[in-house]
Parts: sequence; C-alpha cells; structure tokens
Amino acid sequence: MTREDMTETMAKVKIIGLGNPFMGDDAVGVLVARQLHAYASAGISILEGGLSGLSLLHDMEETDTLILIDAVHSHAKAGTIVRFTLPQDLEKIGKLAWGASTSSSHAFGLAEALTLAHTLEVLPAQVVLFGIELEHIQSGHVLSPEVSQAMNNLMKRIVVEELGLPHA
Amino acid sequence: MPGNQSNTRTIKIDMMARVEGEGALNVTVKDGQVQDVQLRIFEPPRFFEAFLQGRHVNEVPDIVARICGICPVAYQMSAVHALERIFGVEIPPAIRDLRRLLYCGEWIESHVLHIYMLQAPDFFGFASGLDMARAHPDLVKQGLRLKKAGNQLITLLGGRSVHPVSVKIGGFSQVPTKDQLLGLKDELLWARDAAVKTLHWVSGFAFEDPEQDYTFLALRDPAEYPMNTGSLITNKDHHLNVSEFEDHFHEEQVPYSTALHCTFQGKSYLTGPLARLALNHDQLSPFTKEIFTETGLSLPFKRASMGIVARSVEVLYALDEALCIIEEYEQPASPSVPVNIRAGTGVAATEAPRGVLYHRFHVNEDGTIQLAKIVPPTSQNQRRIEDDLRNMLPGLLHLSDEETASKCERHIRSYDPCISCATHFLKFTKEELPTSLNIEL
Repeated sequence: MTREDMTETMAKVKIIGLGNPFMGDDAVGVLVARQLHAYASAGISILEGGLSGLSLLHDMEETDTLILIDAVHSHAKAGTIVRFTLPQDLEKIGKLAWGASTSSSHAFGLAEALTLAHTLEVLPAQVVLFGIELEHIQSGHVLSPEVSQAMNNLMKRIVVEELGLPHA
Repeated sequence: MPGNQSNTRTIKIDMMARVEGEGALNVTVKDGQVQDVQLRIFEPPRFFEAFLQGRHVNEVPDIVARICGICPVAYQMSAVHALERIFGVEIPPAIRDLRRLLYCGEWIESHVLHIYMLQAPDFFGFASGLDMARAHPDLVKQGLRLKKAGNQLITLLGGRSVHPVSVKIGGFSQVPTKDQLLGLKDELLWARDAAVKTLHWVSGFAFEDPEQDYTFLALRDPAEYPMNTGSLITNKDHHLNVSEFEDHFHEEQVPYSTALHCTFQGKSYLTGPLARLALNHDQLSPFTKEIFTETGLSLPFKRASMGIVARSVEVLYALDEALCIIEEYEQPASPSVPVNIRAGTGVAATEAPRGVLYHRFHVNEDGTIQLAKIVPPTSQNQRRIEDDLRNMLPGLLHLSDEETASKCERHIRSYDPCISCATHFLKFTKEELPTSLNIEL
C-alpha cells in the first residue's frame, strides 16, 4: 500500500470543492479546496470534485465527515454563504441551483447525487454542504470581489468551526 | 375559416430530463403532417474554442478536461494526439497502452451511468434513476460499483477521479507501477462479471422504436477496437483519413440552436456506440464476442433504443481490455517522451464514449494556440436525432400530446446526447382547439 493509499484509508474528514475553475464564480468551490490543501493530513483529505455530481458517490466513501463546497445561484446577495446539513436539508438543497449542476454538461446534479446517496444509505455520518452565492458564471478565471471575499471567509470558517483547528 | 382551417399542433420539450447538458425539442404538426422538428442544444465546446486561443499548449489538456464532466479523458486524448502530430511526437507502446487503459476507464464510467441511471429507468416506467434506486437499491448499487471500477482506473492513471491531471503532451506526468495496476485486478474481475450480467439483463429489454437506415461513422484501426487511433469509415463504403474530416463533414449554424449541426456530404449520420459496434464488432475480444453471442441478438443494431445494449457490450469489452493491458503492462523507464514545440497545424479524432471527437489546433511559434476547432459527437448526431423523430412522429400522432412528447424525450435520451438537464420540464401547446390548452409538468 502506498503512502497515498494509507492516507486515504485513515481519512476521517473529506473536503470536496465542486465547480469549474474556468467559469468565473463557479470556480469558488474548487478554489476554497485548493486553499485548504495546507490543512491536509492523515485525517483530513481535500479533493477537487469538479463537475460530475455522481462521482461524488465514489468520493464520499471511507470518511466519517464530508464537507462539500459549491457555488449556488438563489438570487441572494453575491457572496452570501449558506450552510446545510444532510440528510435533514435535502429538500432545501434540491430547490437551489447549484453551480456544479448548472454550468456544464453532466448528468447528475449535486442535489440528485446527494439524494441518491441518501436513498442508498451511503451518506457519511456527518455531511455539511456550504454554498456561496455567485455573481456570474462566465468565461475567465476572475472571481467577482464579493465571491472572492466570501471564499476567504469560508476558508477560515471551515478551518476553525468544522475542523476545530487554529487558523494560520 | 371553413375550408382553410389549419390544425397546428406544437409539442415543446423545453428541458429534457436525464440528458446531458441542456436542450429542448420543438415539433410542429399541421393538418396531421409533421412540419418541423427542431432539436435545440446548448453546448460548451464553442466557448472553449475561444477560451483556448492564446493559451500555451501545455495548458490545453487541463482546460479541455473541463469541457465535460463525463468525458474529460476524450477531450484530453483528442487534444494531445492533435498536438503531438504537430510536434512530431511518437508515443511508445507502453504509454499508448496506458492511454487506452485510461480511455477504458472513461467508457466504463460514462456508459454505466447512462445504462443504469439514465436509460434503464425508461424501460421500467420509472421517472428517474432516483426512483429506480428507491425500488431496486441493490441493482443501482451494482451499477454504481461497476461505474466505480472505471473511476478507479481514471483515479490511478489520471491522478484523481475527475478531470485527470496527469495527461500531458508526450505521455503522462507520472505512470503507475505494475503492482498498483495489479491492485485493481480483483475489482476489475468482479466488474467484468457484473458487466456480463448487465449485458444479459439489457438484452432482454423490449426495443419498440422503429428501425432506421443509419449511416454509421466510426474510427477503424486494423489492429484493435477503436479508441485513440484509426481512420474514418462508414457502413456505406466510405474510407477517409482523419485529415480529410473537414472536407466531408460540414458544420452549419441553425437558427434555433447554439450547437452547430454537422452533416456528412449533406446528410445526417450516426456516431457513437451503435456505429462503433456495427463497424468494429470483429475487433471485440473473444470473451466479449462469446457473451454477446449468448444474447442471441444480431448486428447491426438499427434501433436507437438498443444503444443500451451497445454500451453494455462496450463496458464488457473495456473491462476485458483493461485486464489484458494490466496483465501485459511493463512500467516504462520514463512517463513521457521529450516534446519540441513548434508552429503548425494538427488534427486528431478519438472515440469518445458518445462517438467521434475531432480536434484541430493551429499552434504559433511561441507554443500558444492560434486556433482551436472542436467537433463533439453530440453536434454530429443532432441532425440524425431529428431525422429519427421525423420518421417516428407520424406513428405517434394518434397518441395524446403528452404521450407523444414523452416518447420523443425517451428516444432522444436513448442517444445519450450531451445536452443534459436535471429538471423535468415538459411544455406543451395545442393550437387546434378553440381555446389553447397549456400543460406544464
């Protein structure tokens, strides 16, 4: 077994950032995950989940706590951060347009993938989903200022409140 | 007005459930005759063609991997092969095999998703894959474990499970050890057994759509079932080099869709699993041929609904091929060969899960992209889907509009077009009644 495999087996917390890094604010989930790489350890693994909803079902295996981050479009103020817990909030999650399920071509949106995981009883014990309200989904790398600020805030919040670590 | 009364019936499906991306279908029927069939597709490759301009060639594999969440490997493979042609790169056999193995992983993932979660529910009257999962959780779990076998190949070879990062011009940034590949063997053996069961299962479905006179297009390689190499052939005796693609296949803008329609010598054609299987079944592995013979079905398949069988055959083949590659693998001394970047033009076509994926790149002296052209399978099949519906609709018009729309949607879904949408939203207008009736579901 390689070192990477061992880390995978021991992981208790998995953080997955979703979205498309080439589509404006839809990148935010992936960018938060990239910033959190510094906190990866034997017990904490960080993944970039990209666009594919159903791949989440594979990625969420072998962890006790799953933290998901994605852009969300709900007509709230850009940069607004929302936190959901699963499976309690599944219905609310299903009513929102998630970045990873609207900005690209893929079959299974985030809400459907999570509902399927719940149906098949494969959700980890603790699942938290953070949404960041996006301003725009369009070409280019640049995050809107509100979303950029929210990205930094959310990163700190996850480190302190979810991981219980001191923020550097 | 008596004597001049026209009964116009418009069937619209604004967003089609369980189809990749976004799309819509408008059908107009006047005096009992089908007047117009318009399939509207909104596809991302057009945006990426512009986005690639000015980017360095080394960035291309990572950028094109974001075009599609389902088939990133296909975009990477067409891109690196087109660019390697410009730079005169010869890929050694071991790297070539690993790329094939990576492609096997993607075919497995993409096909299994469509078989279990998107198309099979239609044969049992389930509104969605979720509903089927509620009724048959063990069946769907089997599908997901099978899909995961493909995912594991992509994770090992691509560096992670989605949007592989290790593919580069000249090879890979890293390659697995023999032991790492052998570590997947047991699960792949389980998956191959599951693929046999899947093929038997879907072969017993009721395929009720009419037969079509398809022009099939696929790559053909004299030595193998096509993935990364080969020339273009059809079942109507055409043999073309990939470099001739744009001489014979023309993309045109249609006013109702953001996707370009691609035609072959002015007519529709079909690419994808049905075409690959029809034109390359002799290249399947002996084991796959043996299991296929047990189904009692004969080729070529002329019904779109039988795409689920073709995909199941290819899943079984991909697993058999993957096991074979793993068995024979010897880790290369270097994961890639040196690349001398230079100006030029290069084209390549590979077999994405949904069919022929063509790329053309023009590269500047400094290694930046001057122009990128991408022709995805879905834009090639779009005209063919419309032709199918034109043929089918006269036989459906006696049904209620809701049933007609539902059958059209199911037929379109059977093609696995990359025009998805997660929401089911069917909009329907019937103008022949004195007052218009609007139903939204």
